[in-house]
Amino acid sequence: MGELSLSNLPERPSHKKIESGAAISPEQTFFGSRLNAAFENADRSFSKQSPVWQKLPEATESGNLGLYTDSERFSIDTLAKDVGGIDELSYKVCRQAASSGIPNIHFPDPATMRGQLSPEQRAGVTKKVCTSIKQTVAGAAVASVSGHLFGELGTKAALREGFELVGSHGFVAALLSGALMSIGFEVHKDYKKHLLRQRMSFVTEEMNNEPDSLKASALVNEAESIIQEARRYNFTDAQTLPLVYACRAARMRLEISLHKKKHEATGDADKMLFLLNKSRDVRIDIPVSEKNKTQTLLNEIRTRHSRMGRGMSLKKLAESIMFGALCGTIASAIGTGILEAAAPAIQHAFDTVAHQAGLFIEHLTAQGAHEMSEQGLDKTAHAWLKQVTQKIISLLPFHQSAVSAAAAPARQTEAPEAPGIN
Amino acid sequence: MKAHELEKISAEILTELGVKSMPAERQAEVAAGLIVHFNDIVLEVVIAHLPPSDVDKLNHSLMDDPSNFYATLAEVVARIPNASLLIEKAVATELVALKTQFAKLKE
Repeated sequence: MGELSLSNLPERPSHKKIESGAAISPEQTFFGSRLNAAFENADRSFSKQSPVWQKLPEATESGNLGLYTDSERFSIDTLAKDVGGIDELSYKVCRQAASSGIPNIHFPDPATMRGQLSPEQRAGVTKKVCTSIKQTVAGAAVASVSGHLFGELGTKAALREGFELVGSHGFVAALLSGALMSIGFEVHKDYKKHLLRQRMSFVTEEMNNEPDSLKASALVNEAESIIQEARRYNFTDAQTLPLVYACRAARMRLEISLHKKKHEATGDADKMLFLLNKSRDVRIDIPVSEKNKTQTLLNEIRTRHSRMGRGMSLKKLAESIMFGALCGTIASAIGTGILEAAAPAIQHAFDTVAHQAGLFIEHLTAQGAHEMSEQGLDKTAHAWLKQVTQKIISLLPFHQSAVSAAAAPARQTEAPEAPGIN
Repeated sequence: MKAHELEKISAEILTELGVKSMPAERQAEVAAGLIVHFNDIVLEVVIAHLPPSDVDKLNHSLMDDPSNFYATLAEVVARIPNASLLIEKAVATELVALKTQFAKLKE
């Protein structure tokens, strides 16, 4: 291998790809060109004495350029200072590596680099990262271990140097794309979802591995970020949602573990109350666009509830909602003209009220709904329907407007698709 | 909420969620928290499915005619297609989520 210096770099390094098994996302082919402008001014002076370059021959032979600090020979801060900033360093490293035929560049986790983890932890992280890279990225690759600072910039620099993201799978790829998304690149939604799932799995696993408090705190933040992302894109399909719940559960367990250390709150009651408190923060089953609309009205209702005291009650709100929903179901059944055939649907509605939501909301519709449901379950559909209808009629004066509204012709515009689970 | 109602609700919910027996006052506290939580979910799901015109209508009702707010709410909910199913789905989902998370917390 010849001498390595900036003076003999080729005009444009050979094109390299990050290969892997996942589908190619068409948007990604535009990354390189879009980054060019951002890096036009990046080709500034560079110290040839940087330890990075001194390592290059060795790295080229082994096929890897590792910037992680197993040997603690240098730190990221030193490197960054040496070359005028992390951005510049990333750029230079990528450029040099690309021109030197180094297939893999491992960017370090900033936390690892900054000595925030113990040597054992650092070794563990490094090993995990390297294993992950080897397992998931075949052939030439630029790998980023952090989706935030260094990895993000490193990714940009790599792209600038002609590496192309073809699509991949695994934690590293997930972070790469996470970095790309965080700097404003559009990634195909399916691919984004795929990557998010992997980030979630990884973070969940890490959270379940009893990390120390420092790492736990970072993981909790990362989990929150992932959950928010799932929420932002409304990734609530049957494959993703269980992962979200698992991630959320792991996050909460971690949080409660931290909480316990502070407050020794270990009982079931404390856990459940903690869970309720936290789960409100991270619910994802309402799309953000709807959430805003919902939130405004909810806030108003809550404000008034709090201000007016006895004037408004959550219980009454729930009752009104369930009554309205029931009226809608009944009216829909009536609209079909086949009451008997609709009986199961109506029964189901009562079932829902009495047994599902009824578990949590006092007297959901009107007094007696629960008893009616219980009685109706043992009767024929016809008798049940008759009984239900009588009950509805008995309620008419109280909620006439709801029944009228429900019985009116269907509105022209359909309600939005149900949020939450598919 | 009356004490006996709380006890009844608590027993069902807590059994469903896998919460073991606890002192009555803590049980009441947890049950109250759950009721508020699920009331919120029901409310959120419904409002999220309202067309903008009905959101406006509810806002106006809150401002101008609060005494009829509950009736207005029932009225607009009645027009949401499959409202009861949406609510059921949301409640069931949250129940599963809480059960899962609580089980994890107890590990």
